[in-house]
Parts: sequence; C-alpha cells; structure tokens
Amino acid sequence: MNDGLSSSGGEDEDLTVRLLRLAGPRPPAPDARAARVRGAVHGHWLARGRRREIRRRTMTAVLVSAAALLVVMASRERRGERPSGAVDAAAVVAVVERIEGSPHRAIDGTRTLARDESIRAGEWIETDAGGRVALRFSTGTTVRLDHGSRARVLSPAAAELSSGAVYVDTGGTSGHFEVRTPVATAHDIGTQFEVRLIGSALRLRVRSGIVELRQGARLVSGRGGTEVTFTAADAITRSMAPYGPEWDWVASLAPPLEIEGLALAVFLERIASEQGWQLRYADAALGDEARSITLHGSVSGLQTRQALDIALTTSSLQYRLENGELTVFRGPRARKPM
Amino acid sequence: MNDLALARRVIAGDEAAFDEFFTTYFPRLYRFALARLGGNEDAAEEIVQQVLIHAIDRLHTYRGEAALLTWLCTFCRRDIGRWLEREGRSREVSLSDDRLELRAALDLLAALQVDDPHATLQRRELSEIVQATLDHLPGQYGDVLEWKYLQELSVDEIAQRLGVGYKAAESMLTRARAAFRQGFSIVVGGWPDASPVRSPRSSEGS
Repeated sequence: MNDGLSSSGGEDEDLTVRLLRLAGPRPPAPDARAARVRGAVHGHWLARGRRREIRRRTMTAVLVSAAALLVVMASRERRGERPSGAVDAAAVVAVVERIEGSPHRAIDGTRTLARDESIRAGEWIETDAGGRVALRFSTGTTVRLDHGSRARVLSPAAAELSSGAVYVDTGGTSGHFEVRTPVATAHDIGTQFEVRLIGSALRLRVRSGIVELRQGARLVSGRGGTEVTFTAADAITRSMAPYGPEWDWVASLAPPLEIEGLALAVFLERIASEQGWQLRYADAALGDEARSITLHGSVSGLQTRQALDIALTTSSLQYRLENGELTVFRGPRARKPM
Repeated sequence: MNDLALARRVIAGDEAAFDEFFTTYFPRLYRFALARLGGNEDAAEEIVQQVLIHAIDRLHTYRGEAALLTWLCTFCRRDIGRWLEREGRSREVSLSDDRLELRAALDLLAALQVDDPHATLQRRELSEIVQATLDHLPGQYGDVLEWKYLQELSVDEIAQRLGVGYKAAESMLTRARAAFRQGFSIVVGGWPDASPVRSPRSSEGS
C-alpha cells in the first residue's frame, strides 16, 4: 500500500472504479421504514417549528424575568411574520406535550406515557381518574384528554373517543379536525371545542369557531359560546360561556408558556385563547405597542394571573378582566410612544 | 448547500430543507446502524428514528465544525451502545483516534470484524467499507460516483441531474474520486496497490 494521498491519475481512477463495482450500489433503506421514520421525524419537526414560529414574532426590546422580577424595555419596531400552514404526517401523528397523573397506552397499560413520546396512528390512550394528557398533532392541533377518558389517534386530522372527554384546539390554522364517537362525529372548522361522552349522549361545547356534529344524515352545528347535547333522539342547544371554571381542566393541560423572545401581544393572545377570554386594547396604538414589546425570561410555574400581573406591570401596563373580556390599558406611568 | 446552511434552513422551518436533510441522512444512518446491529432492521429503524428526532431538538447546537453526518453518527453510536447494552450484547469498539470522522469510519470497520471470521465474507466486508466510505463523503460525492461508475451515466447526464454545467460536473467527479481515495485510505490504512483488489484484512500483510 502507499499513503493514498499523493497518487492520482488514471490508475487511481481505475482502482476506484474496480472498488465501486466490486461493492455494488449502496442498498437503499426500505421504503416502508423510511416512510415510517419520516412521518415520525417530520411530525416532531413540525411541532417544534410551530412553537418556534410563534416565538419568532418578536421585536427588539427587553423584558427580563424570573418568577418575580421582570424588566421590560420596549422598542417601536414592528414585524409581522405568520406561521406556515400545516402538513400531514405518516405513522407517527402526535407527540405527548403535557401529562398529569399516569396516562398510558391501552396496549401496554402498565407503562406511563412520557412527555415528548411519539404516538402512532391507531394507538389508544387512556387516562384514569387522576390522569390527563395533552397531545400535539403534527398539524399543530392540540388534543387534550380529561380524567377517565379513552381515545385513539387515527390520523393527523382525526381522533376517536370511546369514553370521557377531549378538548381540541386547532390553533385557528389547521381546521377540519374530527372527533369520532359512537354517538356522532364532530367536525371542526378552525376552532376550540370539547366533546364529552355522558352515557349515551354526546355533549359538545364550542369555545370558538364552528363545529358540526354528524350522525348518519343528521347534521347539527354548534357555534362559539354554545353547548349542544346530542342524543339518538334529539339535540338541545344552549348558550354557555367560553371561559370559567368548566374550562379549568383544559387550561391545566395548556402547553408551557415560554415567553423568551415572545412579543407581549402574542403572550396576551395565547393567554386569552387558553382561557377563552376576548382580548381588547384600550386603544389601537396600545395594540401596536404590545406587538413591539419583547418578553425575555420565564414565567414557568406561575399561575395565569401571576404571569399577567408581572408581564403587564413591568411593561407599565394594566389590565381589567370582566365577563370574559381582558382589557389592557396604560398604567399611570406609561407614556404613549412618540 | 453546505451542512451548516442546511441545518439552519431546517431550523427555520424550510420544508424543502427538511426533505433534503431526511433523504440525505436517513439512508446513511440506517446503513450505519444496520452494520452495527447485526442486520436487525427493526432495531435500526427504531434507533435512527430516535436519533433524527433527537437531532432535530439539538440542531441549533450544530456549529458545522464536523460534517453533519459525523455529528449525527455520534448520537447514533450512543443509541446503538444503549441498545446493545439493553439487549445484553457486548460493545467491542476500540478507538485510538479521537477525530470524529475517523472514529466513524473505524467504528464501521470494527463492527464488521467482530462477527466475521470467515474469509468468504471478506468481499462483503470490503463492499460494506466501500459503501460506508461513499456514505461519509461530503455532499453528493457518493451519488456522483455511483452514477458515473455503476449506473454508467455520462458527465452530461450527471450534470443534468445535478442541475449544473458540464465542467462543474466533471470537476465534482474529480473531487469525488479524490475524496473517496482519501476516505477509503483512512479506513483501511492506505490506498491499495493497483494490483487486484483484495479485502483490507487480506491485504494488511502485503
């Protein structure tokens, strides 16, 4: 052998060719395996990307925070990035985003699900009386299972509920998610809603958007702020608030609020969306200003109200919460931007 | 696109970059894992999936100092080790050089030698080393060499596939051959004599 690094020319080419021909082509990875792995990795990548894109809508300015201390600086720069659309995934269609208690897969009920664990199409998830779980689908849709629920992940756009309750939040971008139950199938049109099985009835609560319940030829729609009790015999619709203690279980499974690099306006929109509140600014300029304030630090471990208090107080802003309406206004020391 | 640029585009949410990332690295990692897992395809799939998911989470830490494949192989090697320990199998990889790219190549060679005492398998070993070398070449060098010497495409046809001109394709072929020669030399300890090709083990004594 020589050192291999100094020689060149036709002799080397000939040897390279002989080696390559002796070895033959590299065996391709089997298509089915590639498709499965791609689905899993792609779903994970999309879920991460969605969180990142929300955070990316930031400006310049500083708000440093730990649990109790935040420093806010505002800039008046504006930016308007929007998250990209959803893409379908293959076999792995969701990841576990948040858990309470000991939710588990039905197939191996002894093993508790862990955060970030992948959920494949067809898998049943169960929660007991003390367990809850939030799943993030590859489309960005979040599906949360309440206590005593059993649901199966069918595809990036569908789940099946056999008992208990699920809450669906399509994030306003994906839409067209469906929840199949023995009573009826709920189809959303870009919304937040809860489907709960109570005996032989299905109770639908729509927080925002529109949901259609279908059972054979029957079709019943529920709009934001309504509750529909659907049985084989009839469907009763009534008004209900999209906020309040009946939605607390949903908020308990909300994704962790990561404020680092987040615009104040986005922070407020996320909190309002999770709580079912309407967000209002005292004036249009204040809304613009909130988009130009970037938060830094963490509010991990804080209750929603505590996080609001800290973020707004240190921004020299205040808020009022009445009848599900979160109104943000200037504090006594705040000056209108020039 | 270089590795760092690709990583940054994947982080930025570029769907085309994700496709390139996956189609470039999944087959290479799969072969890398398969060679170390005794041909266990289920284990290779499972491990490569967790490696790629982990890599997505850590991609922001990739600085481009090593080739992206080398960086991915460090995760893959770790997960393979864990899998082997879980299965009660031993790890017999002895490395004398800490350079990551050389480690990746030597790992493969070591893995091939563990359960392969028969001379009749030497040709297969050599094949696997050649193919692993192709996998570790930068960019599309491995593809270009296969297109030229196995599929026997013309330089024009290669240029079309690459979307570049004739001269650029020809230049890439030259660089690919040089890279292959260098990579293969690292793995087997030198470039074989021009006389009939033998497996690296049988040629060691010559």
